[in-house]
Amino acid sequence: MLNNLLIDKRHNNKKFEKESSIQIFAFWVYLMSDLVLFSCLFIVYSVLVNNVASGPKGKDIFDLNFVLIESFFLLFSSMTYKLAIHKKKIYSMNFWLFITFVLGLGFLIMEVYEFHNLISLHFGPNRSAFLSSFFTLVGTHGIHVLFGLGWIVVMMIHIYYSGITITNQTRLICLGFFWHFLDLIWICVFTIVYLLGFLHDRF
Amino acid sequence: MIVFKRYLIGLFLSILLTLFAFQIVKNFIFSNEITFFIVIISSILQILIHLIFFLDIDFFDEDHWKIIIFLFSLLIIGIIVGGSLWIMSNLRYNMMI
Repeated sequence: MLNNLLIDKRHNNKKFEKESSIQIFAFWVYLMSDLVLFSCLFIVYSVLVNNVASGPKGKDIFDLNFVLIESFFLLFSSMTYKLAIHKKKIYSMNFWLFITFVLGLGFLIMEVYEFHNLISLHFGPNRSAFLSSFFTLVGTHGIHVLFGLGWIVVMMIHIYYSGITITNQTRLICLGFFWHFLDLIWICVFTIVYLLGFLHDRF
Repeated sequence: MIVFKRYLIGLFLSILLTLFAFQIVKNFIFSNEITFFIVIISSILQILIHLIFFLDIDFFDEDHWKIIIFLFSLLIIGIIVGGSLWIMSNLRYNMMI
């Protein structure tokens, strides 16, 4: 009887593993579709970047030091997330997840501050095609980060109540993909929007 | 511990490349064209580092579906980006903007 149960359990575990690898793969496919979405927004931005309608150019409104600190927030949050998912204890894992959350929140607050600053200078998305596409691109990334933050909170609650189970580990791997993917998109935003925007008369 | 070393290397390289590109743009060390290429190349390197060290893409993995779907979406992105730039530059030329 016990033997039977053990075999059953092992069988279940194998089935579980297969299911979780399918789930991770499906999440990867979703991320790739998200990549296509972002590439469309990037191309819209780079087509419209010179249509400033005698408003401000990128060089006039970007503060590179500010953005550098912003991107370091996101970069370090990637690192702390990696630290979190290799912890074996619930509390240390939740602690590192919380640090990741705080760093991501810092990034989001800086971005909202930047947007608020621009809009209060009347450089909102209705000013020119360049600014509309800028707000769309960076705002979409910001919304993704917001959802990632919500997901981190949900995962902390999951881990607190049910421990580090296989289901939770699958979820953590998916969240990790999502979080590092957002960091990757931010590298592109930082390069294409901010750094190249600073060299405005390049073409 | 070995695992963390890997991530630390990734973090270190990303920080280095970010600061490098930032300094070059900020201080106008080179002319615009050269800066443009340096920034693009350093961002591509950074993306590769991110893919390998953080997103754990292994190009010699047995489970190659992840890579295949990634390469396929790169193909789609290439078509979208290249086609859009081509069409829009043609349009700009024909409308004499």
